Amino acid sequence: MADTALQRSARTAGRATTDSQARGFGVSGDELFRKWLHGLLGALTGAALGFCLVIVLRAVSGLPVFQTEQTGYPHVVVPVITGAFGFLVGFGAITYWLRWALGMPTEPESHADHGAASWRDYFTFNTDHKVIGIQYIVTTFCFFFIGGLLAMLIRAELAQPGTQVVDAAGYNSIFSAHAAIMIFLFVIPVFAGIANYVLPLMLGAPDMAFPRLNALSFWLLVLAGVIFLSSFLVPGGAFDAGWTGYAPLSTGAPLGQSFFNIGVQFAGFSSILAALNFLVTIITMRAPGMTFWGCRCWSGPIWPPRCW
Amino acid sequence: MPLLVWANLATSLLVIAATPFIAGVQFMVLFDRLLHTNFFQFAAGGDVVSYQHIFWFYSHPAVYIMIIPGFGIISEVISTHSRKPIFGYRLMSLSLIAIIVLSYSVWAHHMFVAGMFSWLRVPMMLTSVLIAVPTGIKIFSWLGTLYFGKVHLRATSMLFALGFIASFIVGGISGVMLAMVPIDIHVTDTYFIVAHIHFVLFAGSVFTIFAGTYYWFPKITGRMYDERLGRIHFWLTLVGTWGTFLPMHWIGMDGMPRRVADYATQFGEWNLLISCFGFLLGAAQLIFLYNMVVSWRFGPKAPANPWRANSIEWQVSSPPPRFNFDRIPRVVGGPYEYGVPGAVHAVMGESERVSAAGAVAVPAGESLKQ
Repeated sequence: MADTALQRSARTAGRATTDSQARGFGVSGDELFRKWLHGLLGALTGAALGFCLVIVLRAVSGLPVFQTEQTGYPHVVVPVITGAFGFLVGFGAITYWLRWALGMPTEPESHADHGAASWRDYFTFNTDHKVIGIQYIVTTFCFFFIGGLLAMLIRAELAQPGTQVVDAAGYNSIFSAHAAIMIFLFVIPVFAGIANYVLPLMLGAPDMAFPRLNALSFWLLVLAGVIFLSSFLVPGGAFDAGWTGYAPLSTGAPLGQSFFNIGVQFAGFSSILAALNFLVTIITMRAPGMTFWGCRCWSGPIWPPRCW
Repeated sequence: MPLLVWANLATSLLVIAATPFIAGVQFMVLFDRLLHTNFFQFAAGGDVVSYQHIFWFYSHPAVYIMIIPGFGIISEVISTHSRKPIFGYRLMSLSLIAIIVLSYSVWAHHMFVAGMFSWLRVPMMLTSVLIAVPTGIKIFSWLGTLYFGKVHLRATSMLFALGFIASFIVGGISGVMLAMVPIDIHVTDTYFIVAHIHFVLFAGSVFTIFAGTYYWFPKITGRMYDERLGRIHFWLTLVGTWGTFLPMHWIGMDGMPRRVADYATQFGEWNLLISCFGFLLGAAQLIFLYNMVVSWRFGPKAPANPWRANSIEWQVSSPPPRFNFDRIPRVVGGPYEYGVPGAVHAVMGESERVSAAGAVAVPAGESLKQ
C-alpha cells in the first residue's frame, strides 16, 4: 500500500523501480558529500566576506581596524551572520530564488528533491513536508536531550548548598543555555515539525503551500542551533544573562551574548517563515468540503447552514 | 477542520505578529553592543525598562506559541482515545482566538517589580486573570469529551494527554496566583516562578509533544512502538515531573531565589529530593529514546489506522505515499464523529477511478501540483 504511489509514479515515467526504493529521486552519496562541501565552502566564503566588510567599514569610518572593543567583537559577530547565509547559498537552499532574482532561467520542479529514498535525503535540502517534518522532529529532540543534559547539570549543582559541580559563572551559562535551547530550539520548533508532517495530511493536501520555504525554515533552525551551541566555545563562555537577556546585563556581557542575539534571530526567522507557510496552507489548501466552522454555509440552497 | 489545524492557524497568527518584536529587541541589543548605540544605556539617555516591555510583548504571546499547538494535539488524542465527539467544537476554536487576542494584553505581568508605571499593574492583572477563561473553556471541554467516553488508558498518548490535563491545571492555577500583584511581588525571582514555568512548559507543552509523538509515531515511521515501554516512560515521567517541580512551589514561597548556584542551607533537604526526582525524570527520557529508536528500526509494521481515528491522515497508508494522496479526499462530515453510526469524515475522490478506467493515466506525482 505504501509503495503504490511510488511504483505507479515510477512506472508511468518509464523508470525501473525496486520495491520501496524507487529510483529517480533521492540524493546519492557523492551528491550529498558535494552539497555539504559546497555548504561549508559557502560558510567560509561568507565569513570571509563578513570579516572583510568589517575591516573595510572600520577603515572607512576611521576606526582602528583590528582593535576589539570590550563587548562588541564585530570581527566575530558579523562573520557569524554572513557565514550562516553563506552556508545556505552553498548548500543550495536559496538557489531557486537566487536564479529568479538574478534573471536567470529557473529550473522547473522535477520532484527530484521531494521525498526520501534513503537516509541520505534527511541530510539535504528536501522539499517534501514529510521529510522536513521528520528532520524537524529528530533535530529538535536532539536539542531536547542537550538541554536535558544541561538540566541534569543544574540539578547536580543544586543537590547540595554551596558550589560543587560548576562555579557561579558556569552555572549562569548553563541555566541560560538550558532555557534558550529548550524554548527556541525544542518546544517552538518541534510543534512546527509535528504540524509539518501531520497538517497537510490532515487537510488532504499534497504538500505545504511553499515547499522550498518550508525546507529553508528547517535549515535556518539548524543554523540557529549551531550558533547557540557554539557560544560555549568562545572566550568568556556561553551567554549567561538568562533566556530573557535583560538589557543592562546583556549589553555589557561577554562575546557569548552576541551568539544568543543572533541565534534568536535565526530561530525567529525560521518560525516566521514556517508560520506564513502554515497560514497559507491552512487557508488555501484544505480538501474540498473542509470548512473552518464545520458549516457548509455557501454550498447549497439550505438555510440555516448545515453544521456538523 | 480538525482542532490541530485550528491550533496551528492560531499559533501561526501569533508567530507572525509577535516574533518581529523579539527580533527587533535583539537587534537593538546587538547594535548597543556592536555599534555603540544607546537604546538601553541609561547614562546616555537610553531606556532600560523598554527592553523588558518589548521582550515580553513577544515572550508572553510566545508562551501561547509554545502551548496552543499542544492544545490541538490534546484535542485530537482525547477525542480519538475516548471514542467521543469533541465537546464544544465551536467554543474550542473560538477560545483559541480569544487566547491569541488576549495574549497581547498581558505582557507587563512579568514586570510588576521592574519599576514600570505602577498604574499599569492593575489592568495587566485583570487581563492576565481573564485569559484563564478561554483556557478554562478548553480544559472543561476536554473533560466533557472524556465524560462517559470509552477511555483508552492503555494508549501512551492518552496517558500523556490525561497527565497533561492534571498537570496543566496545577500550572494554570499557579499562573492565576502569579497574575495577582501582591503574590507576584512576594514570589518574584523565586523558585515559585521556576515551578510555574516548568508545570506549564514541561508538564504542559512537553507532555503534549510526547502525546503527539506517540500518537503519530505509527503514521510517521510506519512502525508500532512498544506500548509497555511507553507506559513505563509515562509513569516515570509523571512521577519525576511532579516530584521535581511541585516542591519548588514551597521553597519558592519560603524565598529561595532562582538563577543562583548557591542557596541557604535550610533549603538543602528539599533540593536534594528535587535533584533525585530530576535525575529520575532525566533517566526516564532514555526509555523514550530507546523505544523510539528501536521501534523505528525493528517495530512491527503499523496498519494505516491503528487508533481507528477519523481524520484524513489516517485514511492513507503508514507512512503515506510520496505525494500523500492518490485520490483527492473530499470532506463530508465532522472530524470527531466517534460513536455516531455511519459518520464519515472524508471520502477519497474520483481521480483513481478515472485512472483505472484508462481514460486518463495520471501519475500521482504530476497530477498534484505543489
